[in-house]
Amino acid sequence: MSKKSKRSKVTPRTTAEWVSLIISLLLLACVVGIVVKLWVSETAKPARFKIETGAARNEAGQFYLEFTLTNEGDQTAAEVTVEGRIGDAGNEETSSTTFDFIPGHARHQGVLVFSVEPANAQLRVASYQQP
Amino acid sequence: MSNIESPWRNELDDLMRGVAGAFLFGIPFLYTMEVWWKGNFTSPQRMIFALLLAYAALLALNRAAGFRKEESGPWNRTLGDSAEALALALVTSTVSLAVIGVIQLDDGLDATMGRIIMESVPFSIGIGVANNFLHKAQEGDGESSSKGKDATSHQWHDHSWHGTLADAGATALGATLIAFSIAPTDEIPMIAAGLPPARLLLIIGTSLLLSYIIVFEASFGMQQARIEQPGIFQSPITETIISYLISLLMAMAMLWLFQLLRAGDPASQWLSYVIVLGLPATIGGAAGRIAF
Repeated sequence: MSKKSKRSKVTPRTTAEWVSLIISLLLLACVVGIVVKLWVSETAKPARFKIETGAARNEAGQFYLEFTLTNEGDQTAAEVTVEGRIGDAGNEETSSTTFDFIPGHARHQGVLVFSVEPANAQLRVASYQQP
Repeated sequence: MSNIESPWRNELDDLMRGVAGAFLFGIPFLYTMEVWWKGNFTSPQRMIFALLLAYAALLALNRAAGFRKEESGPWNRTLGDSAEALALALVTSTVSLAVIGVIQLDDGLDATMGRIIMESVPFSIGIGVANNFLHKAQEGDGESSSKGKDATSHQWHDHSWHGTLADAGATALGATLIAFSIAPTDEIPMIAAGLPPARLLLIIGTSLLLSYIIVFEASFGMQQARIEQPGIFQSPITETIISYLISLLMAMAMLWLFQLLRAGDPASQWLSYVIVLGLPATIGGAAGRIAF
């Protein structure tokens, strides 16, 4: 009995099997296609950052300044340190935060905290590591 | 087990078994942040290599054991079946990474692909093992073992309490085994931190679904015996829910043991940590029930 079922199952694929095979192959083609596209278009531009500051909110006398950091390069940056600075020499306040990883073309959000209204805060990426 | 199943039902069974295997073997890697991190800066060449590696492992597993209940057929069949398994691994790794919030739309395409592809390697091997060996073992000694099961289930009939306790114990043991290895790691706070409340519901749903699939849909051989086993756990839905609760309890115990949760921590932290660790714990619990 087991032999019989064995034989009948080696015969051509059923419709169900064909459908799942075709869907699988399409999915694989997509994945391989994307990877190949990444490979071909791999210019490996080094990390380059854009910072957009959002609105600051006042929480118990501290100002929380939100910002969005975008890596416009292709390469991943690690330990990306963003530094914010307000005021002028002598009366300066700085604040900083570090992102573990910012992959190429990724956007991440962060917050810097200041004790005075950070309307004229200047944000910049101070450093990063190449993983 | 009837041989006269419809081909669609058969295909669905294979799919469910693959999903079950992927998570049984892949869950420890899903909760390993180094795998996600390395995925962040994996070159396309390495991604291709990882895909080839997964495909080669599947070919070897499928070839060694024969796929889909029959002896190994012609090579083109093996090639196709391995491709299906690899596609399933990629889908399950994508879905699971998305559920725990490790891949998001904001991440760049190459980082996302890197994470998915790296995670799909252990998932592929899980699918290959589940399809070939777990399933095979059951079929190898079909008649004789079902007789054995009859005998045991008769014994159980007199002691439905034993059945319930055995299931609860197996769930707790399996859940503890997996949760113990994941609880002390930084992944739990890290995953929990990024999750909005709605996502927690999704994780609960996923945990229940996977537990149900592993125990009742994956045809690992115990289903019939499980359904016949008396006790409070009798209905599949009830069993799944109670097992989930037991797994959550074990997850909570492990988190407390490793001091990730302390008495003074806010309730939302307790909730999110326990639910996040509950996913692997439930899968361990389900594995425990099919193993015993």
